[in-house]
Amino acid sequence: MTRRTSSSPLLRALAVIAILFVIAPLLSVFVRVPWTDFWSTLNTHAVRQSLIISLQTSLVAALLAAVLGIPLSWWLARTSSKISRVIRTICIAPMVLPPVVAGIALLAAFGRRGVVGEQLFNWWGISLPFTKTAVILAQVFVSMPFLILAVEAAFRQADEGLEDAARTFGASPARIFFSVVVPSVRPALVAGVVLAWARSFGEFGASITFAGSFPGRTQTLPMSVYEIATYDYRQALVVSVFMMFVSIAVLAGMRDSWATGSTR
Amino acid sequence: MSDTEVSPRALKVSRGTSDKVFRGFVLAGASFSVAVLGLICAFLLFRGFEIFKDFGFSFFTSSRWEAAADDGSSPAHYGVAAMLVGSIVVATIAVVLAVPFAMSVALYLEYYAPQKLKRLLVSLLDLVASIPSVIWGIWGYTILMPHAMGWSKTLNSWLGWIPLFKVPVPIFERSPFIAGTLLAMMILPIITAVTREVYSQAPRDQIDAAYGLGSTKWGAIKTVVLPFGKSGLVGGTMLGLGRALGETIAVYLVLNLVFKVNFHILASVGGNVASMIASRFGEAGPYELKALMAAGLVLFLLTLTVNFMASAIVNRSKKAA
Amino acid sequence: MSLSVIGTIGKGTHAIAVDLTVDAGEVVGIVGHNGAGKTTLVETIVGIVPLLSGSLSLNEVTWDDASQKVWVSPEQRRCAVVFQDLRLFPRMSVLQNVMFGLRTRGISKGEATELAQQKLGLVGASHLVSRKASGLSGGEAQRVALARAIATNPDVLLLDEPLSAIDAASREDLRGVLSAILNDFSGIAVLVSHDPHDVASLATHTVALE
Repeated sequence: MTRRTSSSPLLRALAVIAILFVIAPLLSVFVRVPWTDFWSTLNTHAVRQSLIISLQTSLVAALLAAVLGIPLSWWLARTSSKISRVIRTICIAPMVLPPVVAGIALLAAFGRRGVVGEQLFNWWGISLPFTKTAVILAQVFVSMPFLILAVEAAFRQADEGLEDAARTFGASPARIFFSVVVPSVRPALVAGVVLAWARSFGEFGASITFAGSFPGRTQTLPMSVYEIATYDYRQALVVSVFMMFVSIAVLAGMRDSWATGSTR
Repeated sequence: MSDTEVSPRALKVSRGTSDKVFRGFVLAGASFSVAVLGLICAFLLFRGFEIFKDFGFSFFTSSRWEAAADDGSSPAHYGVAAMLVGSIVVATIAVVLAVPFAMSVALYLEYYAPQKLKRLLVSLLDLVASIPSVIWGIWGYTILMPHAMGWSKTLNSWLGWIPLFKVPVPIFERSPFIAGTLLAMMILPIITAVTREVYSQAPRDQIDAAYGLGSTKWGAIKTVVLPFGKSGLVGGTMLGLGRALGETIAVYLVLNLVFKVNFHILASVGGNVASMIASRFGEAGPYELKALMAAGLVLFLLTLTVNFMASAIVNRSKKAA
Repeated sequence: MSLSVIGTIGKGTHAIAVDLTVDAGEVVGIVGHNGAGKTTLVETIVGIVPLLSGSLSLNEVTWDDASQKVWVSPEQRRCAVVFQDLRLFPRMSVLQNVMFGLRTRGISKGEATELAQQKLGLVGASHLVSRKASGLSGGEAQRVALARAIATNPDVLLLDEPLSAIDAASREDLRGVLSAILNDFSGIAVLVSHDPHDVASLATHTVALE
């Protein structure tokens, strides 16, 4: 682009302010956090416990989202029927559904007195709410749309000609998927799964309503932070920073995998 | 379509279990989404409609949210007006604050920033967008609020004669203004991202033509990029608005929920449907739970409408490009 | 054995009339200007693009007939194509590429490896076996694509500009290789080329697409 006179100081000023506006939370948190006793504040029983639950549930949720979402995304990327468009809309819809609303509706459905929950309990003795399974279900529900959006876009950009070629050589959809499609979009798949994991890790609204916040059972790190915030904002800040570190690390890792993916 | 009847020779195609399993996964993924979303919608609708039937239009016009008294002296009454108005007020503040900034960041990134800085800033925006909202809430309460209260006081002392900035009781904590400011930061990345994408598709040749006519860069942006990207900006704004309407926990931490319609944005009185649901569901009885679901349904329909409009607008602008 | 395509082909609205019958052992050369539908014809025969109208059949087996609602999917047609843009699987090795069609048809790994190596030898690409497909030069990739297509011993072998990605010097050499392969080939061969010289030296007869 040819660089002309930059005669728009107002725009630049606004942009700089806006960027500061956005970075401010990151920076100010780092300034305000009591670094000297960072680890001792972080390393409490409650935090450790909820961190473990968070890791367990978010990893399972990301895995489930991948298993359920990736083949589906390929199908969505390669079909253009009315049904696939409807399914696509349905799969993306949770993004616009406030998680808390999803959570109470799930609770109503699967609760002991809920229509589905009552049957589940009467037939198999299964009760979903207030269990880790509920946490995972809520996380998958909230994070899968992000995975589907990211991965489907990658599938759409992948060379369909290779898939056609594989078909002419007698390959079944499963074989095409695993030996032709997946290798060529692997970086995007990894990115999508990581994104889903990050969403699951930070998920709060749907899981606290559906699964509740029971320490040692369903209380994830975000729920724990929220609880800590009611009595000790300093510690809550410390845990927040820790969670932000996790986000930064994950996103940085993802950028790298993207970069290496594109320069193959 | 059948494998057997069309071919006299046996065709060796390995359509074995792996294929069936694979199809199974596609089906499972689709069914999961359809089933869960279907259940959610069904429950919101069924439970919600019971409430709409019981309270009729007053569910939308009343601000009272009271469970039935234990001794039966007063019946339950649920109305969502204050919370609904509050949601819209807070989301509007957020959008009004965020849009000028988002627009300038988008233009800056697309037309002024050096490549390296651009990449860095885009990553940074992605990062900000991925921060869990609990963390935003805690940050908002501990760090933003003390500052924002100062801004509130200044605003109030200068512009207090305007009803919007009037404060009946001089308490500036947890006001719609503070919640809106926090939300503005949270939605800035998404608005920027959508707007930037549309700006980046502005016709190169027209920009060059504007340069050719002796226009400055800002002139070219003003005559070509801004009109071209208008719908992108509107679409991005609506997406941000949708997100702001649905935000729960961050708002809950920095907004004082009061069941009273309030337009004094600096006062410590606010409402928000999602936060209200989060705060009430814990001790809600079966009937109140239904009322909460009705409120959830209203919120869902609101965000759904806003998002549909947003994607329609963005798509239209993409097609025009 | 004979392949017949009678009807119209095309993508979208532009239809091209085709009346083509090829017997086993024949090599039909398809000629025509750019955009005449040569590649579309290849894609129609293998089943990537459906016929607009008419019927496509091998022997008495109908592969594609819109009016009778018959469709045999590409993985069951036992065709093999050297695509104009080659379409080697970039993340696989050369050997894996050539083995691909054999493995999908249930041939054991050992047997497939042996067959693939033999075919690579036939096209003069033995030295490339363990190379990654994405790192090949145009000429190398062209040979590998040819080996991959003949490895499955298809009923119908389709060659879409099989000498185009190659420089003049090795072109002569590969033409010889191709000629020998086509001589030995007992199935049906379809050769698409814009080069009259290729068609004249390799095809048994010629069909022009308008």
